[in-house]
Amino acid sequence: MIAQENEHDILKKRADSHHGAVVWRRIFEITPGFLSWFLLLAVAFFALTDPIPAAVFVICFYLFWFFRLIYMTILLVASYVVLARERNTNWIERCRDLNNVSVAIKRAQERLSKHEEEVKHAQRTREKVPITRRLHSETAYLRRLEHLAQTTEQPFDFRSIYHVVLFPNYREDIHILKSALSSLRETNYPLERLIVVVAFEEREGEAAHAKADELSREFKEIFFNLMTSFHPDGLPGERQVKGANATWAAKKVMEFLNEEKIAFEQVLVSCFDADTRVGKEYFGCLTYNFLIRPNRLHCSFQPIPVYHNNLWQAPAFARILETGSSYWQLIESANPDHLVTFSSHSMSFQALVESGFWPVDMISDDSAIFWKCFLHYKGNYRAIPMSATVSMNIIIGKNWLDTFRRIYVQKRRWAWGIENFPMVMLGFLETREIPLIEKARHTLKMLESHVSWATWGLMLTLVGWLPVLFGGREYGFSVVSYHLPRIAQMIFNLATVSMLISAILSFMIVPKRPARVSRFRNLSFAFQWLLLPLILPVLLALPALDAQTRLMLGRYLHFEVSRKV
Amino acid sequence: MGLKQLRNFIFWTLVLLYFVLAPVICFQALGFVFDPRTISFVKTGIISIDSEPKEASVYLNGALYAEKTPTAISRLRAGRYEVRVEAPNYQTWVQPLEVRAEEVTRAEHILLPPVAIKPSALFSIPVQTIVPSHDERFLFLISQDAKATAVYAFDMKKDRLMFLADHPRSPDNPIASVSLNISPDDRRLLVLFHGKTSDEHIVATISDRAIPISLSKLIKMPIANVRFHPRSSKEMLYLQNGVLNQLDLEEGILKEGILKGLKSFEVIEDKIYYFTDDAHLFSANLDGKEAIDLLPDRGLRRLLFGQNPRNTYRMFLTPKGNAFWLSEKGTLLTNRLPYFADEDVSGATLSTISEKLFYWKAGELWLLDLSDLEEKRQNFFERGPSKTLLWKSNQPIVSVRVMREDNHAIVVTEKKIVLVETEPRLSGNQFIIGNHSLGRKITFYFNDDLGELYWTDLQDEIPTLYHAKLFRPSLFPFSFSFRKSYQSPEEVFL
Repeated sequence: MIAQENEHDILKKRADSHHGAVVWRRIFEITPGFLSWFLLLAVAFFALTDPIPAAVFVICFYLFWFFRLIYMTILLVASYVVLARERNTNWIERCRDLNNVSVAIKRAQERLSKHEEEVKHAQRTREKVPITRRLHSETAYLRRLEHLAQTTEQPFDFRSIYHVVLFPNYREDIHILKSALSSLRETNYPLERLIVVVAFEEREGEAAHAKADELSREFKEIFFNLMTSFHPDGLPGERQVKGANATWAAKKVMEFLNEEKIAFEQVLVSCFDADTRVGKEYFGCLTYNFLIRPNRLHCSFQPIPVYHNNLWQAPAFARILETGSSYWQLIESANPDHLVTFSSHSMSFQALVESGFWPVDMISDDSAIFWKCFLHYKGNYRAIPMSATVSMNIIIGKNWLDTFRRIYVQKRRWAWGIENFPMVMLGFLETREIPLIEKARHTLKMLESHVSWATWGLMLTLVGWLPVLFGGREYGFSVVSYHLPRIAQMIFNLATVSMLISAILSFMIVPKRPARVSRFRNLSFAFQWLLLPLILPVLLALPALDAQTRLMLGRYLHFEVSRKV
Repeated sequence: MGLKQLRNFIFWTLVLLYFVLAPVICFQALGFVFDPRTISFVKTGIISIDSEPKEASVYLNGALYAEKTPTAISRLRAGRYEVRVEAPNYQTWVQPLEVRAEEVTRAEHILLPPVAIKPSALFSIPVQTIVPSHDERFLFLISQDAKATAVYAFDMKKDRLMFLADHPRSPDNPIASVSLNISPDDRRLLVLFHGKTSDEHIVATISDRAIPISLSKLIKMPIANVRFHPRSSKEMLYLQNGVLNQLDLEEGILKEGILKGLKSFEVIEDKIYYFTDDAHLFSANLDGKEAIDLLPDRGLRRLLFGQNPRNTYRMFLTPKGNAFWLSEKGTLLTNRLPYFADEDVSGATLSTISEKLFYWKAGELWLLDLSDLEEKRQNFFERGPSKTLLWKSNQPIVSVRVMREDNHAIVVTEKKIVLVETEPRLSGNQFIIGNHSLGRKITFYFNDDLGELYWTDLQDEIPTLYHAKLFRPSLFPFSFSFRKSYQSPEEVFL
């Protein structure tokens, strides 16, 4: 009750605080939903009243979607190649190399020459050619070192870098938390450089304290420090969101860092979901990417999220959705100029503090923190894609229907990232230092990605067929009515190539099948992509449209925890 | 080239490709074709062709265009083209087709019957008439020999013949005609043997070894028309002295006086339609309540009853509820203005799924189409439903059966059996199926599910049932329709 009252006050305060801004805020809240609905209803309206122009528009849309699909598939493959290239990279070693760049360059050149010799020898003797992935990785690394050598700034010694790892959680099972902390223990990064914070909500009660005690007993001595925090409920200005918990925990960490006299600029903070398991090389990769950036304190670092923790237990439609999320991040990582943080990510602790921590009244804290930093630093802020993965759980319910409902809720929450749009637009209006071209690009990107998220699935599966179904007799005898289904069929047939590539990639990304799982399960992975036409409208487009409509109507979403099984 | 440059290159290449291809494809989709001779865009049309059998060859103005159907001939300038579709061992289809710019001319229901059709006789018993059941599973055969007039049921799918009922031959009361009325659930058959002096009504159950029931043992005779109750095949509605009564065949229970003052009645779905003594047409519920005057218009009433003092009509009801009546005199009336449709009409039949009535007079087959009335929203007072002459023969038409797909009809004249196209734009095409020698006494039936034609003809001067395969089975899958059409059962003259 207290939390609800606070929430009402928050929303009212927001409405009252900037009287002039409230109108603009509402305009920006309405815009994405309006555009989505306008697009869908306009096509439907014209399909019924003037089907021939509607059919021409549908053709243009299908072609646009197809070219976009080609583009995304190319980026997906390219990003995957980069990720695969660095799969076996020893990032800690590369971090060490940064202490003496010139020596590192020599060693890299020697390694490269040796690889090239091996390849030539294999070609001469007609033996199997060694994997060239290593070659490409070394080549890219050498280029990076040579570029670094040209800068005057000396990167930090990686041993001076600390990592704060935050796990905000609420009512999570203890074994989920233990699993996440165990993955930290198994990294090859010096554990004495890790500060782990498990952030509980005080409203969880005694259960939270019991879990905190159990985790402390098992993991306390392993890291530099294991902290637990208990975020009080109903603080002024806060909603019951993950960002509020994370911010509370981060402020506790800030106190600790000040006590230990650790400079914020030497600290990287990773805010993870409770079920996030990192790979062995995660912190090495993160540290390396941090150290090589000249503008390192104005960067966030985005790994590729994969959902492998319970992959083999999840139903096919859930798997394909989360695989699609991973693909989306891979595609986004190919265009770092427009990359925005999502889900589990890392950033400089200094930037976190200077930007004012995560928002305490927004659900989409993962992307909102990026925009806060972007606006705070007047556009001088980037998200850097990392060639590392973090693994999380696929949402699974008690049964298929429950799973379906939970996934819908989760996707709607993800789509609720559109709540950033008004914040960003207002920020752009107030910040003149950001170039107009940058503002325009980011605005268009946000709008386009969210509107297409909400509409494309419906356009492809439903709305696009309205001229065919309701065009009437006159339309039925027109040449365009003859061509539209055939053009659509041709485009969709060509699009299956992309689906095939996605299916093949999913096999390459997926971890090795455990012995207890039957081979048949592997086979089902290939066929799960056939569910795409069903999933697109129902579990992708509809949740996004739902979220945008709620924002448009001022019916703000409440945070609903995705319980992990 | 760096990764960023490569990405930008791919992006802008795709953008350029899109803006080049999209207009080209849209123009093509609309039927525009670039003519390099005149350096201009020309509007074109398409001819879309599909046939049964598939993989027939298509010729356009004598030149081979495609080696198999279905196919579409696109980029055609507006004009007239002669299209020929042929396949080995099948008859050839030829039709001039008008192509209009930006339009598709569809000839997608071309049926090619075999060149050599081999009929075979089915039974050794004489068969004068055949009548199909509602569900088209059975064919009822009326067989008359020296001893009796009998009715059989032939299960077309299982190839099984069942005896249902018979009436012994009597010199005092020879049987002139037989009427068959099938119950809605297709379990029972009412057989009316119309004798010279009296009628006999027999209710037969369509199964082996079922004992037929004679209605004269349950109710007093004579009775006027009899129909099955729409909800139960054990109940019957019958008219006696102007009173409508209900009889339970199994219990023997009689419910009298449901309605009074009736001249005749029909039962269609859950309603009773009846003419009264004072020249009105009503509909009522099955219990006789909630009567609605269907002809408040005096003009139509005058027409209906003026045409035939005995008020004997065959009624046709389309899926959307439009009505036609055909009197004994051959006057065809409709409930749409201007009510009068045609005269000297010999017979009529409805399409199963659309608002089309096919009727014939002498050697002409006509189509009365109410569907375009609604679509074009014509002024009913100025124009009635459109009438189209579909086909003409120098021999009088005996009967017509429209195929389920609504684009063809089997037409039987006094000497020939012909397959005719009923699409007005394509009409004129006919295929000879066979000849017969029964004149006006021929009856026939085409089973859409099996693709087989059944008809009666003389074999050694004895009327015999023949059948021949015309098309592959299930060529015409069931067409979904919320409502089906209805037409009154015909009296069969022997």
